[in-house]
Amino acid sequence: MSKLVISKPNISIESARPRDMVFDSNYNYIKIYKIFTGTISSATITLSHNLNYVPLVFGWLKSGTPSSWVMLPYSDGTTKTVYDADVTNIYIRQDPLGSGDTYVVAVAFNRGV
Amino acid sequence: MGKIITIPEDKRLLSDETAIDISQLGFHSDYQSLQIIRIYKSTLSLDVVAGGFVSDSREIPHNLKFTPAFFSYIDASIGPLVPNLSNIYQQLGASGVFTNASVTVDNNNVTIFLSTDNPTPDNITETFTYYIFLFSIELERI
Repeated sequence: MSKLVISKPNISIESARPRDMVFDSNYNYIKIYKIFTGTISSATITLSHNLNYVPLVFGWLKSGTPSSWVMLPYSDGTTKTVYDADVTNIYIRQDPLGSGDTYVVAVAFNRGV
Repeated sequence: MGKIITIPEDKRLLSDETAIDISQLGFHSDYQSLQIIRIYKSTLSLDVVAGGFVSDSREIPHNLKFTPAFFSYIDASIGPLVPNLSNIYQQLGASGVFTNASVTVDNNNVTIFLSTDNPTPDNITETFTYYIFLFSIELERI
């Protein structure tokens, strides 16, 4: 069975381990389907993806003073921000609701479940 | 326009007539793959006297023209830290050590913040090992 393999410079593909590979067609890469950006203006934000399966999701939040980006889920000790997904939507939930934090959510084609 | 599509070996089909779900494809040139563009790994230590509190931070300039998406782990000598929800606690004798660690990113820097509260009667050195991966996804452009 044919395959496409690219190893790092000076490493033979014959001896390369997975960590030595730049690309290996034997594996499933994380393929970005959609990136959502917005402001958390309510306790639950619903983002429709319509993939009909639960996708792999990553999220980040811009929060704090001075503001910087953190990974989700995140808690600053007072406010908790989390996300979850079902076959139709991504939900970002913040408790208690803050003052308009910015989010970025990356949805992959890859299945999360 | 040509495309490059790969199918992992365990998902290859005997019949070309059966459609394969895109979630099972290895690579599809119509879509951006999540690419790691930087990896940072190093250690930091905090010396905390008995009954004391110490915090420290390190800024690493990333020199990118955007704020990259990222993923991080911090492994503390008293136990692994969950990213962001990073409070851990270890019982040492009659008292406990409370530790925080976080990683944030902005347009200029990756910042690692660490703190340790040491109510024990012993001086301690806590060592943190951090692993930070920056991705090609833009959270914000300068």
